[in-house]
Amino acid sequence: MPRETSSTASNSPVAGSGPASGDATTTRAGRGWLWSLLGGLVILGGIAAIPTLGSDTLTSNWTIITMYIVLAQSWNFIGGFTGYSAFGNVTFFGIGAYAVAVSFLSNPKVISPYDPQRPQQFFIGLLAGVVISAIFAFLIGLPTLRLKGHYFAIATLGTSVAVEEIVTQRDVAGSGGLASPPFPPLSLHIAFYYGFVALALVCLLLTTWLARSKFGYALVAIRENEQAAQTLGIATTWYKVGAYVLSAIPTAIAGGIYAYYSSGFEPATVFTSSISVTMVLVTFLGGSGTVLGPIIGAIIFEYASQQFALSSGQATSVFGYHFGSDTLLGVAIIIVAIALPQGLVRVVQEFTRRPVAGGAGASGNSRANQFVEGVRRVRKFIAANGI
Amino acid sequence: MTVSRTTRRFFPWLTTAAMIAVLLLAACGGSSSSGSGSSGSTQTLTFGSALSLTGSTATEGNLTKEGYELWKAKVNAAGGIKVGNTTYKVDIKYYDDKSDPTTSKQLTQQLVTSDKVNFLLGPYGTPATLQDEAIAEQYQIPMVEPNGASLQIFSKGYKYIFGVLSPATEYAKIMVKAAMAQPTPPANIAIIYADDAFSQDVAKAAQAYAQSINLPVVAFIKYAANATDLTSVLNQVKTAAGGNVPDFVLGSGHTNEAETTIKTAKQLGINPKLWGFTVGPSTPDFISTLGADANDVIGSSQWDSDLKYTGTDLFGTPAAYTQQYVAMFGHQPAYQSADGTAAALAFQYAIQAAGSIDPAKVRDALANLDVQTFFGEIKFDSTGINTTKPMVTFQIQNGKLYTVYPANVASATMTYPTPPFGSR
Repeated sequence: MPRETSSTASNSPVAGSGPASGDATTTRAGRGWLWSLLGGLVILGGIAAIPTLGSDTLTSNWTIITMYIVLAQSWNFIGGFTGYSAFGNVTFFGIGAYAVAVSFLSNPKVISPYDPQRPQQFFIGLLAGVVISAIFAFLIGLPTLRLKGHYFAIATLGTSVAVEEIVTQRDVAGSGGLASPPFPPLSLHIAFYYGFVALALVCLLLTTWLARSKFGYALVAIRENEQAAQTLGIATTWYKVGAYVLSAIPTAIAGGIYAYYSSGFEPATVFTSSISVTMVLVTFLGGSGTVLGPIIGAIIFEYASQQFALSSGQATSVFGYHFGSDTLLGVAIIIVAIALPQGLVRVVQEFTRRPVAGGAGASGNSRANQFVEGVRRVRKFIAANGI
Repeated sequence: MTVSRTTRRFFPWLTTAAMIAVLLLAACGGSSSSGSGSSGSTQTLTFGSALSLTGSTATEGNLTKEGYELWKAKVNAAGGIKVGNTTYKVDIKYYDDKSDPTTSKQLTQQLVTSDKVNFLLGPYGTPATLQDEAIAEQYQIPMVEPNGASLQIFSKGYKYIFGVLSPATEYAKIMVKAAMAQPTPPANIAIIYADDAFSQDVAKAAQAYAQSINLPVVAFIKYAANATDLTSVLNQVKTAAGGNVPDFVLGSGHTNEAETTIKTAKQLGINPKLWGFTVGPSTPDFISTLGADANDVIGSSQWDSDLKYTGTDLFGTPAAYTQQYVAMFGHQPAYQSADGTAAALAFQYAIQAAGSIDPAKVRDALANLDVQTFFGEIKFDSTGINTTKPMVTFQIQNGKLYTVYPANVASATMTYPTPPFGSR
């Protein structure tokens, strides 16, 4: 895919698409993608350093956070860049998980849990999961990506339910789909961890590439106005299917790693719609269609969710109703939908954006004034996009 | 515009502030959690459990928690657990896994490596148990689990997992045994089952057992779990025994499917000599929904409050257990509660037998455990499952549950063959 050089920031998919940011034309935002990439690398570098702290609990918690970073990043390809609200991406997660579980089953020679496992079984399963998911995304994408808005969302949701039902009915990997991959020794925990980190890094590079490439521009064009994109000669169907397949692949790999990491799951565990919802929610929380958004959103939400689970251990009961950590999911969905539909990253972009010379609010260059100006812009931005 | 200017200006700020407050609150709550510890002269033994206190299996999770809590209250009231010259008070640290196995695993990790609990009590449900037991094995902390009867949990060669339930294979077998103990036993059996893992395991074990005692299995039909229409399944059953209705129809599924089966069978006029269901008849809902049609249906149970077990434990008999449970929680115990208490009791006996709180020594004591409790005998086989404790068959008679098999713990005799619908 040839790389296009872009001279103005407004062409860049990472620039905001909301009405409040439409007037931005600055030189600094033109290098925004570089800053985003750098920021992403710093965050992932920080995550990669966590196991050196020596706390197994932290490592375990950040394994799952990093997994959600990958899931959100890959959802961003179809949901953020292309603007197609896929609510069934958990399908690929489940397919990846079951491919690994089935691959392990094909070699049932497990005498003791402490025997060294055959790593090739795992990698064969991982590869199979990727191939099956990609083909599945392609075949499902062809018809469903002709649907728009709610209809596409419902169709993808239906797909995940159907696949879950098939796995249950066909007794894939065990009766009723109860999969029980072999014991992952403690020494493998670090491998799972860096597996997810590496996957997140690949997704970060892919996202940055999308933000600067012809392929990415085509996807954004489809998001902003599909008919206009078609008129311009963009083969919209193929681009959409491409984005869908692209989002399926990392999701399937994450599912495969999860399968071995978890050491046991049933269809309801890996096809649950709450994983789909979380992917969408954290991407929107951080900023959909941005490079950093999915990473930041996943970290904030999953970290808060884990802390909430720890603090609400002794079943919080109010008026006889139990409130668990899922309450957080509900509250977060409402707040994001009402106040932050553009995501945190876009709010920060709005805050740091330098005003157009001679633009609204003649203010000095002092830091205080810049701060006040920034707050004013963010307020305007939220008021324009929220509620 | 109906929204006032002020609201429009300040609402986003309010919501953002609320969100930040929620996050901070959550973070503070998390960091304030204190670990276990022994302070002063009183030694404390800490158990940990990640239970489904909210979410899809919240009811079962909370019943299990009550079972643990009752044990804790009674042990501490009796002075604690004596190990050599030291007496330990018991504390249990709970986390809510929101019925999500992934969360359960993370919380179990937290319990083991951050809270440093001494021992683990199991979560609710097979998938959560499969994930949590890996942590127990990795860190070599014994876990006794009360609520996973699936054989997959015990088939991985783990050394640190123990389960107090009779395995899935026993659920239907005990009903077939009860039927075969009748003076003129059924000549054939039809088995219908839901497609979830547990129901399938149960059904396959029943099929294998029937074949091993030369009882012809004339129908073996699978349906989707939570099916609301079983007409086609039951029409196949109706003529399965060479054009006739089979003698014994056994269902392995869930309460709502058992109810649907009875309702549909009544409409279709299917009257075998005996109806049996693994799950359903023991729930109050089954009797209240079906009324007189529920009579004479048999079911199997891990434990029941009318059983005639005599144990050496804190509770002694199921009746005494029920009485103390009602006094503490104000409602009848379900078998999940008794399972939970039994799991904790297993630990108590093992710690006393080991004379130590060293995880490896307690693990060995658990492996060699053989005690009689209000829950029945607790004795684990080499894989860690409690194969010794029998399950029981009960029958609904005049709207009440009576244990009818095995004979030594029975409180009534079984009605067989049962009258057709309409004359029950």
